[in-house]
Amino acid sequence: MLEIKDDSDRSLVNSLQKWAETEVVSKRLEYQEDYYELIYPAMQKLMIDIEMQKILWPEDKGGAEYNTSELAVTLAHALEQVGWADVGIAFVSSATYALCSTFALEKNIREKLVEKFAPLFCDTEEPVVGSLILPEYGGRDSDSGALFGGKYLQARARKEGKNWLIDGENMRPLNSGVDASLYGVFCNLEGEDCPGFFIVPADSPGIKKGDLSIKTGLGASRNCSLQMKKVKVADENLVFKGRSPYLQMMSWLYLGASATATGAHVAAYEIVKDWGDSRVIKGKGQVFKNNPLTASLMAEISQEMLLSRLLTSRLAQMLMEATMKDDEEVEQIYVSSLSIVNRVTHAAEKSLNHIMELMGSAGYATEWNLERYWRDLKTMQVHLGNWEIHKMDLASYFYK
Amino acid sequence: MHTIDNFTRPQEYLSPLDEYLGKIVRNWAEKEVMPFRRQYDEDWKEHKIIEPAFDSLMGKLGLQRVLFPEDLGGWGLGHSNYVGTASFRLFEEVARADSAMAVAFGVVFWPLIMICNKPHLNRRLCEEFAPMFCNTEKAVFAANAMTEPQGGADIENLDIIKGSTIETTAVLDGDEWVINGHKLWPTNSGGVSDLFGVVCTTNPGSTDINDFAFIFVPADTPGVTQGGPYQKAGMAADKNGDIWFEDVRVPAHYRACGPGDDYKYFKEVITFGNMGSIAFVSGAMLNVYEILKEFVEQTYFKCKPLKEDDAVAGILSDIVKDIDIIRVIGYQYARMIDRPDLYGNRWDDEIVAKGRAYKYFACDRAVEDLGKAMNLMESWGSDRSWDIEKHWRDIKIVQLWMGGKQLCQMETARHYFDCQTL
Repeated sequence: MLEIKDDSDRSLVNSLQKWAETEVVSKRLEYQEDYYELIYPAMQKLMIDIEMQKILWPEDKGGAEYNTSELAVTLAHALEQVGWADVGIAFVSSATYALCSTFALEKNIREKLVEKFAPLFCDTEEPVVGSLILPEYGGRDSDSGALFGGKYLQARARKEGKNWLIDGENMRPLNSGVDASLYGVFCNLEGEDCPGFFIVPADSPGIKKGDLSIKTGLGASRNCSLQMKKVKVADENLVFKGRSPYLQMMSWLYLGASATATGAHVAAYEIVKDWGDSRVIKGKGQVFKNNPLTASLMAEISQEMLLSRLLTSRLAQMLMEATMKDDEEVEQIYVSSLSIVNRVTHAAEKSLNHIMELMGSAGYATEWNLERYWRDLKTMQVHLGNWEIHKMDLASYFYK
Repeated sequence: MHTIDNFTRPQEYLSPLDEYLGKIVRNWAEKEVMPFRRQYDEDWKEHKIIEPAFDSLMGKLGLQRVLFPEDLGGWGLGHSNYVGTASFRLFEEVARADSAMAVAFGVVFWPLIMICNKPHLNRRLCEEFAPMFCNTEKAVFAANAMTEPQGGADIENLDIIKGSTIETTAVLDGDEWVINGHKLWPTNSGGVSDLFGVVCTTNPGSTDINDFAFIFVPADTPGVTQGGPYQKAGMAADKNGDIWFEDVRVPAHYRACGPGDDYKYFKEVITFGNMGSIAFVSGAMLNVYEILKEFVEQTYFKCKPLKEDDAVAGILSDIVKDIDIIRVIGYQYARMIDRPDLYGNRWDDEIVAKGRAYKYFACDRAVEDLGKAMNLMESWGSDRSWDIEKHWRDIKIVQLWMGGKQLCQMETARHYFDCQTL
């Protein structure tokens, strides 16, 4: 276990451990992945009672005003614990923090936006979720829009007076299209040569949601396609333009996803430890975990878990220490975060596959909960993007 | 244009039924399964949508009869010299649509192998059980009740355990077997089977292979209790549950082959299980290829179809390379089953070990490739509308069953390196 140095972080993690046990783990066999019976109430406790959604916002607005870079370390600890309980809730939280980091973090502060959106998070008894709408693959038949890193910006914005009008069809949010209160939309800006990121309130006129999509896991991230037709947003809602702040936001997302995957990895390790303690093979007498073949695999699982924790912790330190003042530093943090999130999510995928192989049918049955982590983790991993494409970012950085 | 039929199959030894069977099962799959399979997950308990497709394949098309001798209403596949290659094609075509259906269908034959296949054809039991399968247009299921709570699939570790861990007992009382025990996880349990082949011991703790008994138990025999189906990560069409046998009495002649031979021919069951597993994986992967091909052709990256990106193409190449190899290996193993005169008996240690090795290879490659395919598709990979995530969930259990990866490794090493204690 890595030491948690900060008292308030330790206290938060303790609260999250209790929340995880009482609100998720003890109820999930009964309620499965029911959004209204399990996920929503758990998110409500997490966001409101433990105040996880107030963390970034100013004290005078009811928040905890913890918007310094040190937040990275706190989030790494917290989201690992949330991911230990439920990968979907942790992933949705990661996306929400990444979205808000673009204007509420001290380094990126945009007072007008903080003023506007702090009450949404602080003066409510409901969990508030942010949804990211990022560049996506294009299609053969449609005008797929402007390119960004080889992918297609899903929306376009044009200036009209002091406002912007946003249009997008069949948009595919990264997360929470159904439940989001805010959308963070990376748009092509008409007449400009770089894209811009807008905060769009979900209740804005002109937004139409499609049907709930069914997917492998991440029940907490209820998603759907979106249409935006002449959605009007104020000029101040254009949070940033260009690649560098986008990479900063993605680095925060990847930190959250790494912590989430590490939490799932730890949970899976605990499941197989519990299962393997009393299991005998090759007739009576040989305890499963003492067999050299299974012990070797279990060693690999714990090794990967340990490395994932170290890497996630290191990424949090990097984000904490970064000034983010120049593009070169941002790029460096981004490629590190990309490498780490890939390493950590793939290590967790590999370990969960191994654990399921060790547990056999028990690992596949809902009863032991492993299969839920297995599905959730894979779903999160594929939502983070095609690794073959991401590798081009690494190659262009290291071999430029 | 390339299709799934371009993947290699050994044309020189396909079964005479290959074209006919392949055509009717593919037609059935495309009309009666593929349009509905996205609804199967929610139907895991009731099988309201799934059951009619089973009735059509197994009852109306009659494929549940294939192993039985012709004069009993069957197709005589059990005593043919193409049972392996014909079954492989059948299972592959079903698995292309839904691997859980392929498993449930394939496992119907698993216990029947013990009595329908030459040279251990048990005419009396064939006559007794054939009407159950041959005189109906409804799907009728059978199951192999092997796995027990205390040691899981350890029972299948035959060479080392020799049946000594089996806790389900069979005691001969006059002209009846009295069976007591608890089995879990058989495919086609959870209330669907009409007939069980139960792995028992006549002398608990014994390593004498004569004490290993394979006894048929009709599901409606007094003392048989079935639990409901387990909820799982996938494989909705394959129900698994607990079965309890409490003083269950069946006639003495319901023992499949007799002392020593039950043990010997049960290894043939393992051989067919491994061959079937490769076919399920091969069929599912053929459909993965179809899905992936459609996706990478219609999805654009950098103004080109995704497949035209060199890095993506490298992954696509890895996947199709494995599909082709899995298929070649699968058909080769099926051929080895068909020609004991060339390759040895189906129950010989060498054939069993090679089956374990091939299944291990096929499952490992498929699990890894499915993960890669999902990654290429990004969030679409986890979207039910593309079906690939279903294959990803379903195929994982094929890797896990029959003792899983570790038992495959041990049996393979034991054979090739003459290990004595594994």
